[in-house]
Amino acid sequence: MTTPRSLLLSFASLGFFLLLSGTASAADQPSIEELLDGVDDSNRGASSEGRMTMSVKTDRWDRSMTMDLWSRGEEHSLIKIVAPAKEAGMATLRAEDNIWNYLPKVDRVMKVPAAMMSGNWMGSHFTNNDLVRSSRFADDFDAKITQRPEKEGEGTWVIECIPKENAPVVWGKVIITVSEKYRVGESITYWDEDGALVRTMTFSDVQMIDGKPVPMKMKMVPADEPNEYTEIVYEKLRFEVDLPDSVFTLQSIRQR
Amino acid sequence: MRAYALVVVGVATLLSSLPAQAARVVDRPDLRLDVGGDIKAFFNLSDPYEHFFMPEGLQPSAALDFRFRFSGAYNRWLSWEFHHSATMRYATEGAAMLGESLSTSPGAGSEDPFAWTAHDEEGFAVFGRVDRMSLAFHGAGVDVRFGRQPISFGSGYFFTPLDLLSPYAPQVVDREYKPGVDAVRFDLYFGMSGRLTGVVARTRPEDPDGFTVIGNGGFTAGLFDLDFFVAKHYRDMILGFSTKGSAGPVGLHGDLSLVVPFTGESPSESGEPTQFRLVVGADGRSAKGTAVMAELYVQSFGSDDSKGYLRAAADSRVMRGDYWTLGHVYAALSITQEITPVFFVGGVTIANLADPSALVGPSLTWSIASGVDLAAGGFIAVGKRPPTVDLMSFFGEDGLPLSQDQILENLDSASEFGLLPHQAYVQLKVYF
Repeated sequence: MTTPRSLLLSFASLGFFLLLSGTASAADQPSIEELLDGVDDSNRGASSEGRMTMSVKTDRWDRSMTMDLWSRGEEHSLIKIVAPAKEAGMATLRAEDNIWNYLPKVDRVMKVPAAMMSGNWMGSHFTNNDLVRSSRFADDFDAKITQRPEKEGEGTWVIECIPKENAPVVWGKVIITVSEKYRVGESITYWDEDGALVRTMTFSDVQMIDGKPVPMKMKMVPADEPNEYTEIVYEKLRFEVDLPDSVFTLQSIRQR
Repeated sequence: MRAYALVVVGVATLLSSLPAQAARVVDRPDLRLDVGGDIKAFFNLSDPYEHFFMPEGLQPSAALDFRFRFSGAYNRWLSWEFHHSATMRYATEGAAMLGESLSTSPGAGSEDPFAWTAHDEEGFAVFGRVDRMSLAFHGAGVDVRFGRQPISFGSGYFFTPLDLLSPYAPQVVDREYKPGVDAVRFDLYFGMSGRLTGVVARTRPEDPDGFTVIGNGGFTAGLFDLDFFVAKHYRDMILGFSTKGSAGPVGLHGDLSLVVPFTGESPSESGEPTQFRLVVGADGRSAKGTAVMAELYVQSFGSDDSKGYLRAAADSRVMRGDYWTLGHVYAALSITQEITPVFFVGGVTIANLADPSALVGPSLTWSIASGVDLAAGGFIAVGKRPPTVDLMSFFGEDGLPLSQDQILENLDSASEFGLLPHQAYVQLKVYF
């Protein structure tokens, strides 16, 4: 009885994760702020619509889930599970400060406290804080470029980020690599305060979506379990979609 | 009998071999078709206590449930849902007498034109039912759904005073599908979460009117949803209020209903007093995967004396399954711990605080593979068992049998949940 509920608790934050928007501006020599904003904004956007499949692999089990997503700004998202068959039809709506889950098999709409979305996201290697993070690298870290691309349009930028004092960050250090060609993140490594690597997120399969380069795959690998990972693959994705208010209503969440 | 078993097992085996992800077979912007289902095997063992109305010895039973699902939508203005469930069940005579709620199928009522029974002899039964068969039209702010569909109201989980249509009893092992009811449902939506709902649902033949009518309206104020409810259900008029929301990390919910019985043409002709039913609850979830839910329930229906339970159980609301509590004050607590994302352990306790007695239900759930779940658990009845009854107490001094009312006067249940046997179950679920 708890599994679908705890599962759905996590979906509410998903809309923000979908918003893989474009990269930084195409200036020849971007500033460090522009590079960091480009990475940050890959998780944010005005509106989007898409479908993604998330696969979690551990030593003992693996699962995958496919879902449709709609998102507008940071306050409105709707997620409907397409597969697997057991969870298909479950939906989560986030509208402003309210979160509802809909369980079609029992016709119940449940209200979820936003603060309940803690811990790992759907048993994956992502945390909810990864998904709903409201901070920005440029604001919360002191950053410096440690490597520049050798040629214009090739190679990567490497940026080392140290959290500012009192910043709401649990990491001791974050190292970000940014593609010079696409100006999207290629990888982010997260280090603890003792200097140990905790996890690595990589971005790949960059495709042009609505004229913007977007990495369609993301993979998170924990450092202490290198054989495990969570991979998110976007099957469809559109940005700047005209989503009316009616998409983010209790009517929409109930429609099967 | 063997032929029925072979057919059901054969179909189940064939369908279970389909991939768990094969839910969506057509996925176009204008047309969506989902096909799937599940197969569930239940094994149950009851341990009755010694009493003349209990069977002797352990009582096993088993069931194989199969559900086929077909749903879809056309151009976002039309959608449909169809489920057919079929069950093959074996129960000893004693297990059948205990009335275990094993399968997800409500069974084949003789009044149901979309239900069938192929075999029902010597404890072995094969039966089925169309559990969903509805067509819905969707417009701007309007949904209308016709046909057999699940319908729920209220926010209570264990205690559901506003859930009038096929509410769950506490010992139902599998709550995945709420049984569908034949109804017409209208939903009007205003803004983000304002809604008005009207339902007309068919009831059982014993209802002289033959239908239940429900009106519900609600809106969101801050972090709380507020709902107002009115219904005519069998011979009761029900007024209700429901809310759900949160305070910090804690979810809060509550339902209140006033039940105005009427036996004549108007409430003033009723001989019964107005009843109230109130549930308040809270739930929370820690970062370590611990989920907790608690509810407190108070009702004016029932008895504060265990001698009155059997009389309360004879009430038509209890007989048809709308009520399942016979006392006045209850509490429920559910705790579930995620060991891994695919393995959960937990337990639920439902207690009558006045007896006192309780039903304690430990459980575990293991997602063995994608689309395959194993659940196991049981129910332990805690409370005074009913005292031994002298059968001669059912007869008067003149040697003639006493009336039902007189017999009920002489019977003492001792405690509510102490009436129940202990029970253990294992359930295997395969989704396709």
